[in-house]
Amino acid sequence: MIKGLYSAFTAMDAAWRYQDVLANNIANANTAGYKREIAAKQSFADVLISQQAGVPAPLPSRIDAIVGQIGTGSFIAEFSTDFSSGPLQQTGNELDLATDRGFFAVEAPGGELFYTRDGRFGRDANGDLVTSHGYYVLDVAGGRINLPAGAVEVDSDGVITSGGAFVAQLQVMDFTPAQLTRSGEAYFVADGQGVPAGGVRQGFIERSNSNLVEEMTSMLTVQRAYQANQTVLSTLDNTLDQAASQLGSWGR
Amino acid sequence: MPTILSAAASGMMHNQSVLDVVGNNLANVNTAGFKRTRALHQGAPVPAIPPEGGRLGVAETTTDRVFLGGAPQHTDDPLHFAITDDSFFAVRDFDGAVVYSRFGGLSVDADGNVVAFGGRFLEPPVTLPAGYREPAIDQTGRITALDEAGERQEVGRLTLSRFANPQGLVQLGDGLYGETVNSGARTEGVPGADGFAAIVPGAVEGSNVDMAEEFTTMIIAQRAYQASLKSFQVGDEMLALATNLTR
Repeated sequence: MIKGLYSAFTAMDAAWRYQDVLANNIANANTAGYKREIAAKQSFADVLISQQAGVPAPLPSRIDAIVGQIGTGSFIAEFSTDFSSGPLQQTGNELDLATDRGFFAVEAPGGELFYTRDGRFGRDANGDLVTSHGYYVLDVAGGRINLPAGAVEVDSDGVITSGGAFVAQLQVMDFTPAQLTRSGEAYFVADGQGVPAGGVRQGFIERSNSNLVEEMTSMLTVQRAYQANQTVLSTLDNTLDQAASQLGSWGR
Repeated sequence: MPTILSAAASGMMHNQSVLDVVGNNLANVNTAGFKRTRALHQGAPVPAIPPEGGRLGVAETTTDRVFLGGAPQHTDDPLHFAITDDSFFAVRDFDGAVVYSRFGGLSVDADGNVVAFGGRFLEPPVTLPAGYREPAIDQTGRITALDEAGERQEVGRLTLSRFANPQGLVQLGDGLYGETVNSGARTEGVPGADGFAAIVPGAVEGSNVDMAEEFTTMIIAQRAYQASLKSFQVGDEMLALATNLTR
């Protein structure tokens, strides 16, 4: 079939996948602790087209003869997470926390560990520090944090005090981007050891790092590219139609 | 169907929820004792995501009540009081259950009982003996009145309650909150002692809605809604092109 069909198709497929990512970034423009995904574009290596033809004996049963090369356009190689910090919003709530570097460690009831920048924490019925899903926020030793009643202060090293008395120290770990896998919009699963980090702020929540202007312009650009490729596909379809039905026909 | 439409639709729906919350807050900007609600988009942790999947927009909009105090508004009624910390006082509801409130606009009914909003008795109840007049409450919660001889006598004491997790209280309407399993342990005390702050007599607590913040939130939610709407339209146009690929 016409090589151009495959070029146009890969571009349209890539456009769909890119639009999924962009729509997700736009929808999560206000999600606390959200880290957006960005695309890394890469060209396919040029594909070699080979002919496989039967040949008479005593030659080998098949000869691979290189017929030519085509480029199949660019495609989205992968999406990576942009770990830049989102803007901090001051809320004044004593259990809203944000970090300049690193992630908070939370433990699911089943024991899985997640890392997040979403610092909207609260107390559960027992007074433990939990996320809004009831996942426990961990201290440096990996244990749960039980807060006394009344006001608590958190300093920039993550040390929680209540009325001057030490309560616990928050676990804030930093990882290289390669160690983190996305697990939800604002949560990550880490592979390997992290480095303790600091810079905890009390009374702030980190907002999404989606850049609406960038996402919208990318979305419109991709839409036009998709449209252009769709036109290419239609034109090629037309050409094929003519080749199949009109070439070699007698008469008019 | 491609997930671009789901993601865009979830963005629109969740921003609509934020606008609902903002609308309620703005309607109650002058309601005494009102505690504003704050809505926040949050992600949910999922155990494993396939590389090409899972992008479904906003996971949820969580709401919580902000119990930071509203400023006391002076009413010059000696029996009114404003709570300044995060505690509540108890009243007995009409069905006999003990519920909690922050609206300190107390008054005296025809039988001399000190009642809160709607005629609900204080818990523990305080009653003025016959002939007593001019009830007042002071900073430490002592309710006093002038007896027949004109001497000021103490007739009762207000107690405050604090919960381990005030977010776990259930809202009952009329500014009342009910205790649940989630609200945690309750500690009781008198104003000005046991870790409770003194109350402000002659005032009621105003609403803690900050109009500037609500309007900012409204504008942000509106623009985010528009952006999600645009991405929905783009997805729709691309789908239309795909279905018209060949004649």
